[in-house]
Amino acid sequence: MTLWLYLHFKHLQLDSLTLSHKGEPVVIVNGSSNRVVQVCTLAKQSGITVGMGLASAACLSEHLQVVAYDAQAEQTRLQEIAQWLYLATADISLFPPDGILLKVSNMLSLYQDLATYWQHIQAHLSHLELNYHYATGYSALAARLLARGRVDIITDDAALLQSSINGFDLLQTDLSEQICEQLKRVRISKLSQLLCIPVSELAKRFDIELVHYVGRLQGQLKYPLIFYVPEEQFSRHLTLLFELENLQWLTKPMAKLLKQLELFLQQRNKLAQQVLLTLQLRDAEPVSIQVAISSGESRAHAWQSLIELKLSNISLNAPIQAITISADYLLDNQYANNELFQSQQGQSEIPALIAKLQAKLGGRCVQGVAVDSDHRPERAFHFVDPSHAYIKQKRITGLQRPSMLLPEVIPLQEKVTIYFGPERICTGWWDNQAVARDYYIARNEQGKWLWVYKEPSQQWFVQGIFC
Amino acid sequence: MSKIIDLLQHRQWVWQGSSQVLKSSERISTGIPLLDTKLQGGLPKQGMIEIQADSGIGELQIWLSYLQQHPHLIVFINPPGSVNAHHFYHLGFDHKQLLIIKTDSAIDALWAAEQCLKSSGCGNVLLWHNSLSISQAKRLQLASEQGTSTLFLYRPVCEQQFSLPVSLCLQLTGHPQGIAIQVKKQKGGWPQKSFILSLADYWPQLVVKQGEANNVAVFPMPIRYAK
Repeated sequence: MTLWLYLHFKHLQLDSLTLSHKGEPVVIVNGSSNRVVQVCTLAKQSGITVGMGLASAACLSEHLQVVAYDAQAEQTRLQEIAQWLYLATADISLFPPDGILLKVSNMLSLYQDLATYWQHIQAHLSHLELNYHYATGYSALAARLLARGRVDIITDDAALLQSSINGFDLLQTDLSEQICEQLKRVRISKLSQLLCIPVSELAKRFDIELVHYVGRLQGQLKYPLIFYVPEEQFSRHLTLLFELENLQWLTKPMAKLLKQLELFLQQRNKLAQQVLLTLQLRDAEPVSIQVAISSGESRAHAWQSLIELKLSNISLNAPIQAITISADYLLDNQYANNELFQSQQGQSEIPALIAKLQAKLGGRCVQGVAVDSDHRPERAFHFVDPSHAYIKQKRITGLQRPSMLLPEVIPLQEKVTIYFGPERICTGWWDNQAVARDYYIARNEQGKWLWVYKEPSQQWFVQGIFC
Repeated sequence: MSKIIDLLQHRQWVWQGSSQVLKSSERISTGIPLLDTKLQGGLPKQGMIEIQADSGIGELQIWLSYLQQHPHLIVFINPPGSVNAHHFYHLGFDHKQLLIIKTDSAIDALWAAEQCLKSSGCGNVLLWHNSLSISQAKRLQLASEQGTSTLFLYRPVCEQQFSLPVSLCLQLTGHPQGIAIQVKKQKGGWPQKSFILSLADYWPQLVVKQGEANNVAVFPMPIRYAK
């Protein structure tokens, strides 16, 4: 029989509110029923319990912090826990909103016995600082039942597990109220009583739902499970406990998410090319900030400094409520062999430099060049993003070309002396941008070298300067 | 008299500027022999080179053979026109070597120059900037020393400007035979009188005055026939 381990996170959302809430009691309240669903230790000390109405809870503690229950947030958090656990154990199944099931049997060949396995899982989970209940069981439902009943038992002793299950009341199980009511009428209120009855007998008198449940609880029927598959892309969301108006205060929460990104990338041996930071604002459209390093980067501080540069340029008109960091374009980590003594790191620093410049000045201000094979000077090259891939062109020697071109050709309006020329460029008849020009190098009276051309219409223009 | 100086020198009580002369190994040849002799062997390996020149007299052209020597990144910050990459490529520069930055504000240009100079991937930065304060120049000088890179600072000629703390300051002016160069300031050396660098060896076509070549055909004028 397969052994399962179920983890029940009793106040997941509360544990995820990580920004400093020291010294103040916090409760999570379900918005629709207006009842307290999760209580922190401090709030518990002042007498607040789960299921209490919001009004009574507020009466008990004057500094009470109330946070609305968010099912979506818990779900995402559960995904994150699964992702973290995936490093220690293979088969993980999620039981939203607050449970995770681990398949133990397969992992025992890696970790010698159950005790060692549990030690590893516990140590691994301790990084997340969560409160949880746990139990093993020979069926997924049995483990879930024990964990939710806060039994906290780790054993592979079938008899002991069975006896712990027997004590449960039917109302604590996943059975619907209607079935519990039906069973109550025939004086079955404990699980032990229900399990005494043969399944065939149950099938005759009760719903197929009950038969399935009993079969699955005892491991005779298979419980359908969907196992967790780790995601390929990184995306993390963090709700801030306080609204932030100063962008500099964003550094700490951002660093936390970037650390997670670093870990995510390291575990997969990947590099991120692009990081997207989304700021959720109060009563305003979210703001997205994108930074990129073309060669890829995994270290948190490199991304942090880039994002800070980018943030220094923007101003917000509403306070920030939550932030999301995501990275979609991942690269495999390439290891370059560098010389030990010769500092060859120069070349590898260029992408980081370009990323930094682009983050501060904006992408259009920082440009590389690409050369095209065309004789028309204004079409012989164009500006591109510096990370653009280049096509090698044949180099022509002996050209007399200026080092600077004027952004726009201007008519020649001064007296010049021609020193060299003409060089005729007569091309482009195929794309309706035909040019027929005689180029000369000329010098004006101030000693400035100009690149001028004459058109068939005998008009003269200046196109470049020999700087 | 000289005895006293010898004594002072022996006890290291007197400091002489000439002892600070950079060794020739710390100089990089400009590729132009006349310029090399005037500059004690070439341009300094790192630091700031101020070039006071009017635009268009070949003030960038004379450094091309120097820039061609190493494959490092060359950054143009706020150039006076659109950098003709076609020209640079066919001279032997690589595509990836050229980076052009155009900023909206002067402060951003200085920031970009500092970042580029500090980075070890970047060899030469060419900055066109009109007004630079002494503290800003010092900061750029330190950045260039940190990244062992060179900054070429292009400024227009103006006599009233403050002298900046630079490694080398040259004033270039156009001359019928080429470029007149005056070394206004150099680290570990005396200012030099103006001399003329002939462009004949580098741009042979540009020196002898030529008329229009006689093998040019005149463009046929379009002829219209009346219908």
